[in-house]
Amino acid sequence: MTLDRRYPSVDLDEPVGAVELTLGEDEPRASIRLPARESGVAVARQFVAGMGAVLHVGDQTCEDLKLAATEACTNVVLHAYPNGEPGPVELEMGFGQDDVVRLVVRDSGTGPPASIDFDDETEGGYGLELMHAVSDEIEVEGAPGSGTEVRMAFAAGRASAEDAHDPLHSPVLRRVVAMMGAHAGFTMDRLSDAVLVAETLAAHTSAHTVDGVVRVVVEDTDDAVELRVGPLVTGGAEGLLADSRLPAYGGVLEHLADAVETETGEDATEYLRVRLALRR
Amino acid sequence: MTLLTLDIENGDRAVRLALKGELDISSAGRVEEQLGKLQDGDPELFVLDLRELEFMDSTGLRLIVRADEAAREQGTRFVIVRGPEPVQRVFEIVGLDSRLDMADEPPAL
Repeated sequence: MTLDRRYPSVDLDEPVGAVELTLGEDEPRASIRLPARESGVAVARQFVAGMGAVLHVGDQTCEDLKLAATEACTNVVLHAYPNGEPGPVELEMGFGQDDVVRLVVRDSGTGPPASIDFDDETEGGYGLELMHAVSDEIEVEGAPGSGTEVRMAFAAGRASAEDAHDPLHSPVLRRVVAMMGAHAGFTMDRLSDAVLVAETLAAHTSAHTVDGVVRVVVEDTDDAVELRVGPLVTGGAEGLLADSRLPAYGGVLEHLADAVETETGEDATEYLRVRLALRR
Repeated sequence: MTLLTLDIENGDRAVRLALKGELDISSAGRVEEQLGKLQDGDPELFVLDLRELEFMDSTGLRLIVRADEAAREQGTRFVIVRGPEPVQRVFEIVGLDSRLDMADEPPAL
């Protein structure tokens, strides 16, 4: 007896690729955009778990959101880009005006199937059934060749105004960086360094960006995880480094990272690049 | 650090495969490979232990349903040790909790 192989044994070294995070400041809303590969699904799930913590949605809703996001992303990985290189999958999450949590998963692939049956129990059908069961509303939209957008709503009940939104976005950045580090093969020690770097950036970046919105690209390579933070205002990279210095300790980022560099972007903006190698 | 750890225990014509961590499309291939290998040994009892599984999605469900069908065909008793609430909920939503042989504790190998 043999089980027919359906899933590739994902090489643990297969990179996730460039993961772009956009963390809103005034509004509790964030998005992530990453290549639609098997290895990225867990990263997307960590993004959703982090936003669940930021929005204080509660354990049950958080599990529902993780499952729904995983199902939607898996569909993109399996069906959206049948030929060649995987295109992007993008997730957006935040409170809508009606105090329900909205989760949107979109791709720019082949578009949704002609008909969708949420109760389809055949092979491949469980995913839609689960998304339908855990969300309070679900809509699937798209057209052949122009991608698919899955919009889901979760009645979570907004927590009290002051703790409904953690402006530091640390829970999101920390989880995404940790998952990328775990995927790259970081040891526990190196993972805790990576988490501290993520928390430091989450705490101090928004004051140095053009619009208060924190944008970070996290990318894994064979032997490192790199973070590119920005665009920042002129002098923002130095300001961010200065803010993250601790008395009697010095620069947290310089101390933990293998390289910290400032890059110049368009319109006199700056980017801070932080490289964390697999081994120090 | 990996997303999912597989732990295998062999008994007399019995096998226990314990999954620890998260089962999704990126870790399903490794589980599928092990399920195939272990069932090749034609055991009388196959135990899939989900007590330390923190997350499972439809990919995991499909994999388990197919392993259960394969076990039935070859006359192996296939027992699933129940996982934490988020994992059990996935079985319950699609109504598989009553169709699969589930236990709270692993039977003796």
